[in-house]
Amino acid sequence: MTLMDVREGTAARVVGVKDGASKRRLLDFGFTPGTIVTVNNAAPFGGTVSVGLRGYTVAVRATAARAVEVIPCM
Amino acid sequence: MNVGKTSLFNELTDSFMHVGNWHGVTVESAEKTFARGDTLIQMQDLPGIYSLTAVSPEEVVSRDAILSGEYDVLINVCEVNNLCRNLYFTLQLLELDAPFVIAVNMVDELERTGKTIDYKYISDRLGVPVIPVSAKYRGGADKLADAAIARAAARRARVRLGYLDKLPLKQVAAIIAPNCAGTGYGLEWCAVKALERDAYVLDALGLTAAQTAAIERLGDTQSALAEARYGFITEITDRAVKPPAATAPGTRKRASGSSPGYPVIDKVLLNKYLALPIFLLIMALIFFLTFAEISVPFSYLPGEGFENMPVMPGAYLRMHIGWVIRNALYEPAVNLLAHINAPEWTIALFASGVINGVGGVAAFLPQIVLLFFFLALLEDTGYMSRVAFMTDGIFGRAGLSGRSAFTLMMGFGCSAAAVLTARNLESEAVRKKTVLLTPFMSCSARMPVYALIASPFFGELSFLVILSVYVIGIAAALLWAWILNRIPALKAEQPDFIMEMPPYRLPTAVRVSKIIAANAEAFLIRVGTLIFAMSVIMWILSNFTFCFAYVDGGAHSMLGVLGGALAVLFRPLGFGTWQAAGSLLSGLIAKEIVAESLVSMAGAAGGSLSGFFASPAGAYAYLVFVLLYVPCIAAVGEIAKELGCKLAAASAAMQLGTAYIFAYIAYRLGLFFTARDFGAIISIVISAVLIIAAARILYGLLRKGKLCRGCSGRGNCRVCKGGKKDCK
Repeated sequence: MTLMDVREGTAARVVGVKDGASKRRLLDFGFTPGTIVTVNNAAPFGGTVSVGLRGYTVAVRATAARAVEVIPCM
Repeated sequence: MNVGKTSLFNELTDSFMHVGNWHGVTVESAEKTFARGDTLIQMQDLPGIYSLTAVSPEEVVSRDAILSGEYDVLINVCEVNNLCRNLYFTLQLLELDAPFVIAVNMVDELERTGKTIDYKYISDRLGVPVIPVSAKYRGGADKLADAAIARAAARRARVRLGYLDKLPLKQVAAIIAPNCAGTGYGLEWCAVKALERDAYVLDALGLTAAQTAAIERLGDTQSALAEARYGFITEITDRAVKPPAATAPGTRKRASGSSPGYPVIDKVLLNKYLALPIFLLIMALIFFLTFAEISVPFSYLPGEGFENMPVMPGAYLRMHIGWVIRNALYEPAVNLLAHINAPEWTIALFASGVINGVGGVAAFLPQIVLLFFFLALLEDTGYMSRVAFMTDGIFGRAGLSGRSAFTLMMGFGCSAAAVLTARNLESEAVRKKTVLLTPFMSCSARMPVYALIASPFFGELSFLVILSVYVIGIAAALLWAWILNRIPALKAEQPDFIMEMPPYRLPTAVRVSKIIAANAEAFLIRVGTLIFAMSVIMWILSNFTFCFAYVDGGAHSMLGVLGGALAVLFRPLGFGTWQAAGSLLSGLIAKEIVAESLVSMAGAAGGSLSGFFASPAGAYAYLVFVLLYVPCIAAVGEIAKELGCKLAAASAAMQLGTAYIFAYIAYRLGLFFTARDFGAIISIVISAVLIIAAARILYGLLRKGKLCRGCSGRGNCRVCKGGKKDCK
């Protein structure tokens, strides 16, 4: 599953970032394998999620969020 | 990055550059020289940068500055709440082996959370001085300056970065070694950047296909490098950052379902269903406080016009300033001039031209300052980035980005300044479109015109009329966003939007007073220079004939003749008078002058504006026209600087056309509603058909120009059938 599929208010663990235009940015922002991320909110009109990781919050658009592969945290 | 670089810069150099609680407020570098003891320091403030691999144009500014090596020392500003992510960039500076010191900013916020940080441990591990500072509540900045000066003078051995050993750095170095000498960068750094697939460095290296393939065989080194860096950072921060001692585990449980550092208030403010209504409510409140002219019958000041006391702060303060200008300037000046037997035209110039005209604009000081203050508040608290987040979905569909919302909101303040903020947008197409749309946002300079015309023509409804003008501006922008997205060259490739959301912060009282003072000062300087000079010129143009005979206003004056010639064009819009047309001309210099010249011309016409417009519908159409037509010369200049002259000219044409069409529709609809004029509706329908037909033909022509000769844009191309991709 990808970051886009994580239910609001739940956490997931990053497995990896797919190759693509936003890979570098996502890695720079700390979406490295093993990182725990929490999806806080989805934007009102969809397409963007607010994600918490490493103690800060970042907004990620769906196109980029779909590049982040995660597994849900139990 | 939003770590407070500019705040720190302001404190060190004692300046007042624009700051905000938002990533990317600084888009250009600023420079200032200041003295510290015997040392003269030249300091440069750079835009925030996440990584030495730059993505947006303003990041390129910073990367180039850092790679140039033309400095003695860098100050790497980190933020205490975000240390982990900020140190990621610090590591890249270490890899580059640049001379720098680390400033950990906003340490005051640490005290609140109860966490403690072992700065010495971080400093020892990284081999770089670490200085805790707080730009907000003065402290540490002097120490930082001293540390930077000391570091600039010292020589240090290269820091060994253990995490790099986990990576195939040696293999890469072996592959690229022959190409590296020409780049001017160190081999190890080039190797790191090659692992990272940094396009800029790879380009400089000019690798062969075989070399590139050899590097690719090493696997996903991008992820590996990021992982290694973050691993190293976590190792440091785990030791250096200690959680609050008082809160034993379990006593203060984190609210379930949210990450640490996630403000609970966002649960409401960013709620799927509440977010937009709350945002609109906040905006409505801001406009209400600034513009609403709600009065209560009350009187405590002597003089006319004070039977009704406005209760909203904006209008309340404006009335008082107006009163002071009238009683303390206008009347004494007129009396004095009459007393010394000054010529009639001198009295008129001073009275209606300068004092009434310029004073009429100056009276808007409180409202303009209030508006800028609210915008700054939205920025400083961190709400603006939430707006970007919540509007990203809509804006994305319109081919823009949530970050465009920031530029467009700043457009309510000043179009020329807002256009600059578009620099940090992700893609060229989005940036261009955002810049083109910004002038449709009603800037604060246009507001005096609305207020001036709305109250005599619409009375109690003024506030709604002014609000509707703002809404029309937004509607025009959205319409154009939709149109522009259909132009192939501007079609957004749905760029990826990744944006940091800052924590909420309350601006300090000092900061609030500085915002107010800076905006008041800027406005007064503008009134005292540009507006004053233009008011004299406009008064002369509207009161003297081409033979320099004084005519006390009227159609025979220079402006009367020029405006009269233009007025024909505006007759279908309901304001075909030379005064209305002439004031629009003056608005090209600055929008406040429209209000200034209207006041001054009304003075000549017995103080009433009613003769300038055919009817309230015509007055409304005039407001719509003022909203949408070509922005002031300063804004056009900024657009030309950002997009080039060709697009700036296109933007001016686009605005003029939109203004004309929208004002026409507004006038006709106004006539329909006020006078039940059914002919008005019919004429709208007929002109709509004509406009659509014209647009269709123009669109066909434009497409034809883009495609090959055989194409007509209708898909019946015989020349390039199956050939050119863009020929459908």
